[in-house]
Amino acid sequence: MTPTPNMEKLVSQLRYDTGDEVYDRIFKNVLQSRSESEEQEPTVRKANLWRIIMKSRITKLTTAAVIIAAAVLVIRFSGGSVDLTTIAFADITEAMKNVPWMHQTAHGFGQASGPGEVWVGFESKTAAAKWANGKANFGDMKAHRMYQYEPTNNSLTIDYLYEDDFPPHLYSLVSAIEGMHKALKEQGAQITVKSGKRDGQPVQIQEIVLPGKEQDRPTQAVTLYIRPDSKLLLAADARVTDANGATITEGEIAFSYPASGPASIYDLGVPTDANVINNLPSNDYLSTWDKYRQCRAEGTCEYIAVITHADRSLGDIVTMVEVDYKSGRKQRWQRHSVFNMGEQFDKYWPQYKEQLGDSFESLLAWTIKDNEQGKGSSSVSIYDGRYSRHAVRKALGKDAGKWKYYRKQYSPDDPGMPTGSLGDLGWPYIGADGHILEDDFSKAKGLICIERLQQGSADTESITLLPARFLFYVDPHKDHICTRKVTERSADADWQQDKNWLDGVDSEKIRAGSITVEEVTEMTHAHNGHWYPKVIVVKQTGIRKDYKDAPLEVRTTKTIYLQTEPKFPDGIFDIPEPPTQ
Amino acid sequence: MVEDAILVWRYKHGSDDALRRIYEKYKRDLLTLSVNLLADTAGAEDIVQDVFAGFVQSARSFRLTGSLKAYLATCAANRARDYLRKRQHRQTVPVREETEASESDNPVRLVIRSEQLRRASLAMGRLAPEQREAIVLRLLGGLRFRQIAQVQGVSTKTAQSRYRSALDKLRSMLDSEVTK
Repeated sequence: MTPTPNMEKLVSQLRYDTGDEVYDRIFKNVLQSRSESEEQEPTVRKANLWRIIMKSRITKLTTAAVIIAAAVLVIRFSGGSVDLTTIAFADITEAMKNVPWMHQTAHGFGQASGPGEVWVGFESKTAAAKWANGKANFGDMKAHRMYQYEPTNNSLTIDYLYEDDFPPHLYSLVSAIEGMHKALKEQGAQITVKSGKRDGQPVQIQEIVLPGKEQDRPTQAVTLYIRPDSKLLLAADARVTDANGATITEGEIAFSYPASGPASIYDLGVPTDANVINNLPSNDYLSTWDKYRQCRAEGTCEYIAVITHADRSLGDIVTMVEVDYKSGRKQRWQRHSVFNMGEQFDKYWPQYKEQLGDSFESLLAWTIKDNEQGKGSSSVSIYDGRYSRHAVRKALGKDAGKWKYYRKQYSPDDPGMPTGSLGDLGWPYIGADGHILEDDFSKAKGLICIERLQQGSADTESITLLPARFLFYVDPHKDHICTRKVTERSADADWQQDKNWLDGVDSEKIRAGSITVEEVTEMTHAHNGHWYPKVIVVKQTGIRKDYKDAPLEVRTTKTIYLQTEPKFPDGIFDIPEPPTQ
Repeated sequence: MVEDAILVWRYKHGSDDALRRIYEKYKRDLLTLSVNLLADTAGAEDIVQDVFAGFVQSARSFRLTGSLKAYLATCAANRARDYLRKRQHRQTVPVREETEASESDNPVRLVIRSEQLRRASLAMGRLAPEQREAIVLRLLGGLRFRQIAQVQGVSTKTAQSRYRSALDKLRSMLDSEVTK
């Protein structure tokens, strides 16, 4: 008889793993589902000062962004919807409508860099910051340049600045106020207005308090000091306290409104002999990238796309159907599982195959019916140009078959759609940090090859991101469609700059490499004159040590059924309201 | 343990990075638990997703009183039980007999691939669900018998008995495969 310990050891070795793509997909779904908790406690996340700050992509622009964002948020707070103070806020809004520059001096907020000065040029679309520790930043949105000065080695790094790094609400205090006005409508912030003095000058004081909730939401208080004559914001204090009244963070900002501000990083005192590190992409690449994004924008204005996913391992049966409706900024995206949980594929496929059909009309009709009557797993994301909402129908648990609605989000800048839309399939995200190279495949096919490299990262416990190399093969003759995308992930990638990045990571947790190829094997030239992918085949090597020599096996085939002159069903982009309980 | 408590605290206070770290730290453990609890790779992704989704949704009221891994393992066991019940109720796809054989088609795989483990994997699928749950929670989830008993709603003695019976059954099925 075998002793028990050996059996225990054997069972302990029954460990399973899967690919990064699967883990990433799961995590994305988890993040989406997080909105569900916001549904239950709607005031928590949207109102969280620090969450908004951290979420903002402007953090890429400069460390000063924290202060900028805080300032903007302070102003946004002033858009509270309490009737008593509406007139006062309207005055501020009006006064700030034509402000070309805002200058801030900030203290506190736990900044390691010490007190700092920040300039925001609303008309010039620039932002600049100068810190007590010598660091300085300058962002120029019109020129797409971001400059960062590091005093310890006297270096000046120049990077490409994305539009997304400088959100529209920073261009206009009015839109900032409008944005927070919407967000705070449901917040229940307490606002009091009184007269007082600051630095000996008469001011109107507006105290805005968002009370905490038990242990989980800190109390956030912002006090605004407003010049009664010009109605301009003079100063703001912000304080965040926990349930016991202890201060989590606090700071103060003084505002002024100069006629002009710094025109370059050197105006902030950066030495002219600083060593310049130029990370800007080449002009060739930028023109291709601009064209690529332009083609995506123009080709994805108005359409309905139905996308089927056929699984090769199951004999090419369709396991998932997605629908992507798009009209201008409005978008609706649905994902439907064809099979109900636990259904035997072989047994049910003939029946589902007949129901689905193989035309745009039959597939769309199936999704509409499944939306209304189905019981299986499904999800819907809707964006009406200003608001978005996500809903899921679960196939498991006590609420199986019921729709669960996430919180309605005010998001004027970002539709927040899941990836997988027609735009993602034809023109996947590349980014400004790519470069053009020429290889045998691109030469033979007359394509433009864009390479983008991603550095891996790890902490002492595990790898958080494997180094990745992306190759995008773009067809310049067919609307710059990405006809082939190759993704290589490898722990020992030669493009990894930090060769010691795996120090301290358990070797058993370091996974082998893999290659995934997504290839457009068929295209459509639509009535609107644009080219679109029709069939995309996804091949993978699987995760294995010999991945570079391993054969690519077909995993999934995506087929796109497209209507570019669509007649949208009534109300398809309307944000649904959850049924009342 | 302390690190987990800090991560949970950070997540509760709005850190997305903390959530990502929790996920990275436990995603493989959860996947392993789920596959073994279901005795099948199909559905394991759903379980992992459901467990983390449940975690983020309840994070605000969540208090970490013990091990985070044990908490997540318990959640996985509860969800796996629901899943199995539903599958049984619908009388559809049976527990996959050839987990290893399906590997080339399925992205979820055994980390160490050997004939012995393949057989052990198949043998796990032949255990009664409550026995399999006991052995998985003990050996892969790191739960104590007292905790397993709570999960299963039985006495500690019963949990221990299920665990021992599971080992005995596995042993009898794999007797010739396990070396001393």
